[in-house]
Amino acid sequence: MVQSYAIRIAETLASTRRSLADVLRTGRYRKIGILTAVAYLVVYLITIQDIVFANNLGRFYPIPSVAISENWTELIWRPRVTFYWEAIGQIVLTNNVIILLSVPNIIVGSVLGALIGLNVAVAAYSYTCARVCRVRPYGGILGAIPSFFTGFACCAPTFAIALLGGNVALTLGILSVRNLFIPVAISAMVLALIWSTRKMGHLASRAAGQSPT
Amino acid sequence: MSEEPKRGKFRKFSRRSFIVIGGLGTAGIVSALYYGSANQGQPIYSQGTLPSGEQPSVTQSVQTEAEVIPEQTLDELARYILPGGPGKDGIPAIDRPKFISADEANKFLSNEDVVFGLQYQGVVRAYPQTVLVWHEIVNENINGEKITVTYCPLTGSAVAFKGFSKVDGSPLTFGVSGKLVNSNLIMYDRQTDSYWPQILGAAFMGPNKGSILDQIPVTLTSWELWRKTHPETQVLSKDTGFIRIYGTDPYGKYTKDGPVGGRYYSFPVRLTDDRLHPKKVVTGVIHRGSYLAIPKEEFKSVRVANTELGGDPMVAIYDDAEEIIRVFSRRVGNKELTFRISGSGVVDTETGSEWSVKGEGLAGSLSGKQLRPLKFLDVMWFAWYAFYPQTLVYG
Repeated sequence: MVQSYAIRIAETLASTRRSLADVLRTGRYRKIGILTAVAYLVVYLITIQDIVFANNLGRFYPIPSVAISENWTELIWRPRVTFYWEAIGQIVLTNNVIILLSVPNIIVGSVLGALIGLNVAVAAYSYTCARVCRVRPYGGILGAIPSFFTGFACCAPTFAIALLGGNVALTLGILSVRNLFIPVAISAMVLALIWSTRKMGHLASRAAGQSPT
Repeated sequence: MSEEPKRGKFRKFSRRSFIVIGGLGTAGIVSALYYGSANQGQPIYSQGTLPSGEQPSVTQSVQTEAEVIPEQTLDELARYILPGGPGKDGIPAIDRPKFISADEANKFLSNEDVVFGLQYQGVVRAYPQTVLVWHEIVNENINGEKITVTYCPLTGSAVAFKGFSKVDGSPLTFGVSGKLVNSNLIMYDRQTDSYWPQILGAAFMGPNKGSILDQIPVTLTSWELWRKTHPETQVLSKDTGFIRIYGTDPYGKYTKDGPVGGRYYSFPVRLTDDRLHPKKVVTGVIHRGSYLAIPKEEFKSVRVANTELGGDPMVAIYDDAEEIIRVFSRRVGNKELTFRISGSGVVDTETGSEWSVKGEGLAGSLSGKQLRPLKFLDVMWFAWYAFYPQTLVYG
């Protein structure tokens, strides 16, 4: 029983992987996916305040400068709150921009960004495929909708933290909700990706059925 | 014909797969949350409970020469513990502080920057607020003595402590528990994991419950004034071993008078009182189980006040040089003195001796004597009242 489920899951994942490979083989969708992922990573790092815009950084740091903590090995996996880890270094770009370097935070942001990028690439592919093949033009894009919601769900609390600034209680309340959103968003985006690639497969087979021979 | 059963089979297969994947996802979420919380190092005591094996005493009370904190008060306070957001040590204490000269500190500190000044055993040190706001605790070693300098940004209180574990007598060092009571930092000691609210300076949970720390006065002043009065000062370096954006304040405009999000403070407090603005800075004095709040700004024009606290005569003197209120016993030997302003210092009416604002006898028959300082700290009114509702208010 367990073995048969494992086989089916492996088959589903393999099918998703094949569909994603099909999408990413086309340069246009690959670019869309990568750009979305990078944009999301940057927004994520801003909202968790690992990229900070401040005044008069020059008073405290040489500009430009890069610094790595002497005890970075002690800090690298040390959490500050759930899903937020210590920085081990910093890059001061200008008098107003500083980037904190935290390996786990960058990994989390990259995973979220990659999932959103893949979902968006699949959605763009499905939309184009449906239009070209004259199959319900918006049918294919439905598959990507959950990814937008989950992406937003993950981003919204961090945005709210940045916007609320001084209100510590509200910020902390949102932080605790955010702890839930990150694993929920990752799980939901994986499911959405599987679902949307399946829809894409259906769309392609229907398009193949309707296409003139 | 051949495609129909295939499609049906595919649907069935897909639904099951999704259930399994969903289950795995849920398991992933649960384990991720567990991992996250485990790494935060949650405190070993939950709200209002005692560590296993310890029974609450009904007669024990905390007593020193200066104060008495009944057992019930400690238990009552322990019921108001709240999570502050970051987990245990999520706000990291500085355990290996480095110090720099005033000239070096001048490169990043402005005249108006707030510093917490400490004078202890001949050592003069300043702790910039912009560094301490990210760490809250500095564990120090001064001439072989372990002392801890603390700052709570939510209540604006800075205090230094020295204490020993009642379990084995070892000197205590502290970390940030991530918990709050009356919006105030709860420290935990690294030796027994007991909880100590900073304003109380006493353990209210854990093996050290009932112990009181020795308080060492900290001067909350500006860098300009501290540097002027203590040019030899050492300054806590921003090389703390942690990466933080010093020069920015994670609490934003919290310390200003105006309400934030419709409230003056961010976490609920046990008791409130509207005699003063919640964020007004008062110098809180503790003596023999009695409490007095002196509004700092208003006292600038008063400068000297002779009064009584806990049945003892005391005097509050405003120190213009550092913009702080100093509080002393008015008793010297068997004499009870009354003070009045005289130039930049004060004079006692009884002997006509001249005194500095630091309580040093400068001239007259009491020259060379030192007034005995009382326990005091600068703190926001709402927090002072929440801990000491029986407090008197000067003025």
